[in-house]
Amino acid sequence: MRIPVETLIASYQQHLFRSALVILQNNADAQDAVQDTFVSYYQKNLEYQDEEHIRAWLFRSVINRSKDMRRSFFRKNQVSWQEYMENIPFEQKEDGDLFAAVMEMPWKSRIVLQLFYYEDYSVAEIAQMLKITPAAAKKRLSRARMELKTRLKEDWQEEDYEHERTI
Amino acid sequence: MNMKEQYKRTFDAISSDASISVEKETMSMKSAVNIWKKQALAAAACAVIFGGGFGIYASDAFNLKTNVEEMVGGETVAVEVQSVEPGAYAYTWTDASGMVHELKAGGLKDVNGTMEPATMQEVWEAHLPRLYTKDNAIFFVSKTDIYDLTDLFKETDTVYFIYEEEGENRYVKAFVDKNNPKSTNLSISDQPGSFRFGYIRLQPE
Repeated sequence: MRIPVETLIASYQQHLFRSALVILQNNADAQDAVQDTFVSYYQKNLEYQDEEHIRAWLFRSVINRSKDMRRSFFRKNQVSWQEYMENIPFEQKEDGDLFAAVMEMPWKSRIVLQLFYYEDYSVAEIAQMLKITPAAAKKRLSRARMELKTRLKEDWQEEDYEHERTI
Repeated sequence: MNMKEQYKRTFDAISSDASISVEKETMSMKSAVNIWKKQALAAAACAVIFGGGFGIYASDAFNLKTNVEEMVGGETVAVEVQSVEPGAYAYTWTDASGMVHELKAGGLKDVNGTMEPATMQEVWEAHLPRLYTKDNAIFFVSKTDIYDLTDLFKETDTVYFIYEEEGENRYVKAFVDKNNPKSTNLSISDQPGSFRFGYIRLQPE
């Protein structure tokens, strides 16, 4: 199946942008990565099983594109994520603290957290998306959560652990 | 509220203000792929009229560094170009003040229905630096003219305008973050795109 790119942009642009942002830590670069992803979808004209398949493909693409961009030496004179953060209309102060804590982590931890907490992907799905083993994905997630806990000094909800154990 | 809910609330506050064009012309990247152009340019690089003409590129071979002379902001500068992948290039140059600028861009072109990597020169022409800020003033520089956009940006960060180049209308969306003027986005198309009304037609100074 194919879904018109306009429909996908309306549904997934912001989600893809957030994932690209946590990897690239730069607004303009993240926009580039998202644009490239939709262009790639449009140009490749692949067939997909269903919308979930398309969604996973989009996330894989934007993550790969963002990883490529991270390696690029053209990443100077850019707006820092701290400057960018100043203009984000967080509802609560602790949301800003959480954002900062996430962004201070290594990118491999950031993207795992984003896919798990924000996009509701399972550890197995995250492993597939990042082309790592489920055990490695689980380890990354576990470390990232511990790190968040340390930084934010907050207790974690038991239901999250339950979710992870059932995968 | 558990962590997952707080995490979602936190990242719900983040959004992209980029409008992605779904025009067939743009998506097929007839002239250049990347409509989001990074402008990592210093204010000092501002603002004289382009002299016209572009350098001759010796080779587009992958990973080969080439030095060419180009007009940027009215100055002739030596630009080092490196092909980083087919159709994608990195351009580095130093302006008169000694500041080093880098631009990476890429593109495909439609040759008789087949998509092929654009050349170094085609990508440069499509992405050459055009939006400059200096002392709270904002300028747009075409191949032949300079336009002062300062007034247009007084009440907004995003301006849509039309200018004429080589006898054709060019439709432009320009974004400047006033809190950080170096943060700009510019997209140029020969089609008005989805934002079909409200373009301001620019006249040269």
